[in-house]
This record gives sequence, structure tokens and C-alpha cells, in this order.
Amino acid sequence: MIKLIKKFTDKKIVDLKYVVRLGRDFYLVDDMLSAACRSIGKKAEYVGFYLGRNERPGLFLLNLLAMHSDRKVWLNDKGAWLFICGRDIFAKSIVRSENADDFVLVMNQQDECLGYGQVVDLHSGKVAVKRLFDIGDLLRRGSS
Amino acid sequence: MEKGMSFFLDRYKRLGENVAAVKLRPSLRVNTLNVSEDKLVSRLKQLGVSLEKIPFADFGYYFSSRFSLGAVAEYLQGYFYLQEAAAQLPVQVLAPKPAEAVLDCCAAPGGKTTQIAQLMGNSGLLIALEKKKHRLASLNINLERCGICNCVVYHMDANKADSLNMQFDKVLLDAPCSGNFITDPVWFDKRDIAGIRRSAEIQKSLIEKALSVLKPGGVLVYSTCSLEPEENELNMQWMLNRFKVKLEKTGLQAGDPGLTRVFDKKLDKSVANCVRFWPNKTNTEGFFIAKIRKL
Repeated sequence: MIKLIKKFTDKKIVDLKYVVRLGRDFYLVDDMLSAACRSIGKKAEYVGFYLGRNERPGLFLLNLLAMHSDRKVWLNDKGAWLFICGRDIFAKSIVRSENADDFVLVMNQQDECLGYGQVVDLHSGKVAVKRLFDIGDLLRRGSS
Repeated sequence: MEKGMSFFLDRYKRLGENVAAVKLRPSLRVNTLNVSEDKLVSRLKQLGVSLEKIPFADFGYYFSSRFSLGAVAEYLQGYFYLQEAAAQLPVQVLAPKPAEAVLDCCAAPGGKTTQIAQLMGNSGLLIALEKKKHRLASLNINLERCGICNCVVYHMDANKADSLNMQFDKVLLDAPCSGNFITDPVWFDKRDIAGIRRSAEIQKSLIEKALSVLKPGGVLVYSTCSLEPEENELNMQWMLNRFKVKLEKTGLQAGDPGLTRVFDKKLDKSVANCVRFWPNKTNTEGFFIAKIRKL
């Protein structure tokens, strides 16, 4: 999780004191919820904000990264749609970019974060950014 | 033979209703934790989606769209939940408040759980129980999608809710039930009275447990998507006979009063405070909602 955050920002955006692990998943939990869980004393399946698993961020973490990182590309509507369908990004879909030299957050025209990828060649006629994660993952996880 | 379409339609007639099939209008609930109603309506209209406010559901809209709304970015961002109109009402009746402790007894896939968190403003404590392991994934994904942070999910049968060692201000028991023919095209072929009575026994056990973890003065909302009185009004009469509770008005602007006469049985008049949704009258799935105050 920390490795993933460091790809986008050096800021301390998550206080590890509030992070709990359930199985392979990480969550951000406030004091009140932590106290309730301790008092109940049973194994929870989900608690607080879902942060994600390994290199797969939860929506909350993705939005947090978008607030704190300046490594981004913005896509046109068609490119955004293809991206959340799991496709890589072609240069013609990118309408704007900032500090896009390695890992980048992928944004739509409404400035919402749709996932992240790794820059291949922004000026190539082919794949400009390789998709590493997109929010369509929610649907793919739900149907698996 | 106590089964089949004509048997059940005749039963509904004896309960006072000529029930006919209706085509459900697809509907959604705006998740105001993630977006304002105005912003979502404007975004969806830009996509070519027609929207019409559901008059009796606080954040509900009927919609018509040429494509599935279950895959658009606005859905993935948790701006709305695809939820049938009547199914949006039990939580509206529960009216959970910020800082309360609320229990959702049978939570997956999370439509009502996420709605409870929405009305609580994502604060307080929401405990969600789900008995079936394979349904936990959909619940967890919907909590994540809708940005819920005040919820703890346990893989647990609500019959064991007392093992939480907690008392709640409010409890939602959207009970497992036999369903209804509007949402299940083969419903008449697979349901019979014996099965409905078995279902009613399971519900009674859940009602008893839900009341046991509710604070005195607290509210339990009991709901089913069944039209069968055994799972609805008769269960409420059973509860009134055994527990110190009262049935309060739901405050809803839709639906019929609960039945106070079921075939040859006369029920307590307060059962009329419950709400029954006959599909042909409300253009919704069949539904029943009761607001119960523990004394």
C-alpha cells in the first residue's frame, strides 16, 4: 500500500496508526469504530474506509491520491470510457497532462480519478499510457 | 393444492385485491454522500438519461436509458445506487440519525446498508450482518463504491445478533422472504403455502432476536418483498401478542394500510399502521413495511 502511495506522492496522506488489515485488505478506521470492533471482539469482514490490497487501491485511496498528487493525465470522454472498460490509453485520448513521466493518475473531464497507469510514450501514435488499475475493477470484482 | 398462479391470485382476491402484473420502472437512489442531487441529475441528463423524481422516495428517481447505468463512471464513483422504488422506503421509515448505533440484520447486497449510512451522514456506528458468505463480496464492493466509512460488516446470522453484546437505537430487519411474482417470473411455479409458512417461522425468530438487541424506546423496521400475509400482518400480530412493542405509523405517502382482517382472522387495529404495496396500485414490486417501537 505504501509502495503504491509513493508512486504518486511523497506526502504522508494516510496515518498508519489508523490502518488495519483484514486478510489481504487494508482499511482506514477511526477511533470510534476501532473501539466498537474491540468491544464486539469478532472478526470483521469490512470496516471503515477501504484502502485496497497491494497495488489495487480502493476508491477512497484513489481519490485521496488525486487530491495530493500532481502526476496526472486527463482523458476525453471516449478515452475515459475505454479506460474504465480496461483498455490502455492512446495519445489521442489525452487532452492534458502534468508531470506525466512515469506512474500517472488517470482523470476524466470532470476531474474525477478513474485509475492509474504507467507512461509508455505520450507522443506515440500507439499506447501512450499502460493501464494498471481502473475503477471498472469494481464491476469485474463483483462478477467474479 | 395450495400452489400455482390461480391459487395465489384467488388468495389476493380474498384479501381484497385484484392483483395484476405490472412492468416495473427502473429506479435509482442518489447517494448524497458522494454527490448532490442536482449535480447527478445534470450529469445523467447529459448522458441522455431521462429522470423523473419518485414522489414518495426522498432521493429516488425513475429513469429510462438506452444503455445500462450499471457501468457508467457515475455509478462506479458511487453517485447512485440502482434500487427499486419500494425498496428505498424501509430505511426512510427507519430514519437513522448521525451518531446513532444502527444494526442492519440481513445486509447484502447493501442497498439499504448504504442508504442507512447516507442518512446517518457517514457518522455513528452501523453494524451490518450477512449470513451468506458468497454475498459478502457484493456488500463490501457497494460499501466501498458508495464511500461508506461508519460501517462494520460481520459474516453472521442475525439470529446470533445478541453475541455482539450491543444494544442499538435502531434495527433494520429486511427479512429473507418468499419474494413476489413481479420480480420473479417463475414465482408462481416454485412457491406454495408450506414454504411460505416455513419462511414466516424464520422471520419470527429474526424478529425476536432483533427486538432483543434493540434499546427500549428504539425502533425496529421490519420489511419484506412478499405479498403473503403469513410473512407480514400475521407475523406482526404474533409479535404484538408476545412482546412489549407497538406499531407506529410509517409516515409514507404511498401504499395501502396493513390488513386488519386476514381471511377469517381479525388482527389488532394497529396493524393498519403498517404499509402494504400492491404492485398494481403502486407500480412497484410487492412490499410490506412495519415500524415497531420497543416499549
